[in-house]
Amino acid sequence: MKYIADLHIHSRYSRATSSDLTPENLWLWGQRKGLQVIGVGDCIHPKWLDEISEKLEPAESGFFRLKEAFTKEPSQQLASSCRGEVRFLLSTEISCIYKKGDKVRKVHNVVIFSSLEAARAFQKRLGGIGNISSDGRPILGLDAKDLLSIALECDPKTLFIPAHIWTPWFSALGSKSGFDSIEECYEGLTKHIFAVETGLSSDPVMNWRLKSLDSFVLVSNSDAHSASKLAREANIFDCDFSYDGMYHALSDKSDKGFRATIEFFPEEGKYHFDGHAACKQRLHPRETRKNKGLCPVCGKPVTVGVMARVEDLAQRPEGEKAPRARPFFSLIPLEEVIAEARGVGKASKKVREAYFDLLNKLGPELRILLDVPLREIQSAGGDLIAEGVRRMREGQVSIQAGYDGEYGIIKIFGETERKEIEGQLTFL
Amino acid sequence: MIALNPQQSAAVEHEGSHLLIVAGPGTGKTRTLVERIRRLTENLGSGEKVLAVTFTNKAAGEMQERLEALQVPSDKIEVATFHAFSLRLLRRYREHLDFPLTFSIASSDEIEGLARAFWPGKSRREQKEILKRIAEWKASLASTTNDPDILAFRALLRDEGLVDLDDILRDAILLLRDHADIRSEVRRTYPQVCVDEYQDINALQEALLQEFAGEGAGLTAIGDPNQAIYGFRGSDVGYFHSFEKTFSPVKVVHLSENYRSGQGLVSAGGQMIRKGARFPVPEITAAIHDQGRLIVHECPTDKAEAEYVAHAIERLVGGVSSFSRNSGRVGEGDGGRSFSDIAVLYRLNTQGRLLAEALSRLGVPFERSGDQAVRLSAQTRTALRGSSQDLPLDRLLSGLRKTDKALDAYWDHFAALAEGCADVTAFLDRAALWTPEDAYAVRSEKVRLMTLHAAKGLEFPVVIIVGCEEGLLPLDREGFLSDPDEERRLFYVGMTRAREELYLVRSHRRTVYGKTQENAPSRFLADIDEALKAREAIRPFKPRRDPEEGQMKLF
Repeated sequence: MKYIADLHIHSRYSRATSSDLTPENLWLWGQRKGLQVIGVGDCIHPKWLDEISEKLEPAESGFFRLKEAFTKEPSQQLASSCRGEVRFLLSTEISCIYKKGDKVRKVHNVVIFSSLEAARAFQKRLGGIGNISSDGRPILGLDAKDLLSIALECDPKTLFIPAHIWTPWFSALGSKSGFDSIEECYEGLTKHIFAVETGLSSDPVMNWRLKSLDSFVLVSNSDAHSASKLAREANIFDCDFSYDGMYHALSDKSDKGFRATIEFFPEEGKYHFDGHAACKQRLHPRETRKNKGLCPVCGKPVTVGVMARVEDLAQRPEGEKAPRARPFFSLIPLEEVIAEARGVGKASKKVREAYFDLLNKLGPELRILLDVPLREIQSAGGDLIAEGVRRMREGQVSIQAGYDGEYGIIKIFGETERKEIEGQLTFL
Repeated sequence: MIALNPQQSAAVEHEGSHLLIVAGPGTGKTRTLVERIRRLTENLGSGEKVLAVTFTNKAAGEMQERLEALQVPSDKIEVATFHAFSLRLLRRYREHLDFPLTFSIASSDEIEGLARAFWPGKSRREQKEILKRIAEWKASLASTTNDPDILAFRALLRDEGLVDLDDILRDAILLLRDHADIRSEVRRTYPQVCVDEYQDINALQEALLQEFAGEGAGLTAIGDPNQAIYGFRGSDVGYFHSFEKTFSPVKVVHLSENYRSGQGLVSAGGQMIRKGARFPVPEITAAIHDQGRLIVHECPTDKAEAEYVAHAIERLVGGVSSFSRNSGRVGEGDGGRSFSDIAVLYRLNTQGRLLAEALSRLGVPFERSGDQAVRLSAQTRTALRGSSQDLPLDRLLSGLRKTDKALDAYWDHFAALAEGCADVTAFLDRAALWTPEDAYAVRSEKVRLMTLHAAKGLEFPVVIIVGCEEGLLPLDREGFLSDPDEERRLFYVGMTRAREELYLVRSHRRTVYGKTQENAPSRFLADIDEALKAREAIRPFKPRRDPEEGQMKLF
């Protein structure tokens, strides 16, 4: 069966996360987004694990569902068009900060378990090593390789995924405190890693440039810190609807069950390109090299971004595909499409209303962005939203990449375009 | 391997008389001692051994490892603490003793418990006074006494099959003193005895060494009188200073080149210890060219101090979360340290609490170790003593876990101690001889929070000493025995743990044991040249308003 899974999110027990991250809201927003599987996040945090154990019940092997009694209240807020089955699985993120080869390494890891017993065993092991109750995403002074070894001891079927592997400060390949390859980080245990998470800042095309990543499935997750951010990146599976089905799809290279990923436009990220914000200099890594790493205006060193890190480690020219490359869909969150169409801020009340109106009429957000015929979007939401979705689906958006802490800017419509489009469109 | 410097070689090569090595901090003390032991093993006859005495079980383990790494044959050395070695002697010659064949070591709290039960009519204070009298009597090595309390209490312990730590030493000394044949045999077996941390030995330990020192046996003592910090436990640095006289003739070698710390830190330590020193302090020179960084910081309250330390650590490791960076609390140029590079030291164990809370809030992994020994409950020990010797130790222990809080809370610790123990007695001995200084290393990295005492013998790239205030450093509090000279040495021990960066932090106001007080800066701070100190401003803290925005910044 085909289903969409978001494996890496957080609970309200992680630092700087929204208080709306309850099992009920995850159930609600999962359906609004069109997810079938959600990793609960923070699954070894004692309070969160207790809450999960209380509110969820086992469903298909390794999957859990919200108990009937807890669905009553959130289902009142759910449009019938969005109703669907939602399953949870046990996942957490662990931050490892440690010294290896004389350098401080900071590596985030997503760990997923096949059973509650395994998660509890892992909780117990890590509880003996460090503080797992002050932050839902605990920081441990543990070598990431040792973390993997402990995870495997607790659960031979664990899915261990190096998280957002390109973020400069906290990832396996990050420029600031990572390694030059996944093997360097996990050594002999690397064979137990089947997938790496590309993160919001990179898309599969960038990752294809590293032959050393060919053996891993490139997965994408939201890393959501609030319920409405769920599914902004996600994975499309077509396999048995169970933990084992997913495990097999990721671990067996001959399994075709892992179909595609849902991605951000990576240029939106704050460190996609290089540059110097104070002088408003946005540089492609090529330009940085030409300028010997210095700002063309003031001559100070520029901040080097994710793209440059990829270029540094690249083993293939730009544009070449990896042998096991899967398709991916670059999406813009529906609220942003609406905001662009209306020419208003994405946090405005108008946008919220239009968002829920569209969900009511057409179903979950991912279905609208990916599948709903443009004609239907047009009749439900008007010309501009439909045209916005079309342009997004076809990648016809203008992007100014982020750099040196400045957000990237994605524009679907030019300033004068909106008026011209309205009333002129026909989708066949 | 780097060659020994001339002073170190002189110490290693010395022959013909007893040897005293005065080894300042970072001067290669352990290496010199290990090389000397190796050297001594080369001249042994068959069946002879070098006895290496260390201050802690952990130090014994490390010494053993280093000797093995140098491929010193294991049958040529015996490494032990004074207590462990004495216990071995007593067990070996048990038929010559006038007390039970099987005895167990009672911890000090167990002894106090027995005293309470034995003299229910007496106040706590009176009980403690008797125990002190007993300790003094033991240290005097008198073989008899007329004191009825001492006689009665000793009879009680013998009946219970118990001894305490002092008894072990005393009995070993008396064994050697009263049995010339055993003494000769022991001296023949160990013609060379090397003692580490000699500045911290006590009267009984010195008396034991005197039993060794005859018939051509050689003694090597190594230590630093400026790092003597266990006077409150009965150690006496006077034995270090009188070594030359007691064991004359003695060759004295000074190690004076510091390979651990930056020049600025070596100078600062030297300036501080020299003030008020009653014996000449030999000049220590830094072999490292880096200056090192000495940062002095003042905080309004102890809570602010804990926050300052937490954020200093956050900066040192270059941020612990994306929030560290988004908030501007950590910037470019910060970082490069990992958690295990950093130690936070304080005078009183209670000071660790606020620090632990602040680090917890930030999610920084830490390990707080203190002066508190972890002990099995008296019931557990009784149960183990009475248990069938046929059952495996781990099964016995697991069975007792439910009824013993300490055993349960420190299960990993006790399980590690049980590993390799032949039987229950061996385990009980090991558990009783264990001291906080033996704290086992975990494989995950953590910031270490510990008392200055516990930091002895350790070194870290970054050391943060908090509470640099009058009243705390030097400690001057009711209910605490403290000697101003020893307090100075303790501060020196703390300062000299730092390799590259040393933070000396103080707070204007502090609450200790429920009492809030205003404290003046420690006199020790004034003893360091201003030119060596850097004062650090805290980076302004500008939190982001929008948590969602904060999230995006990650990428």
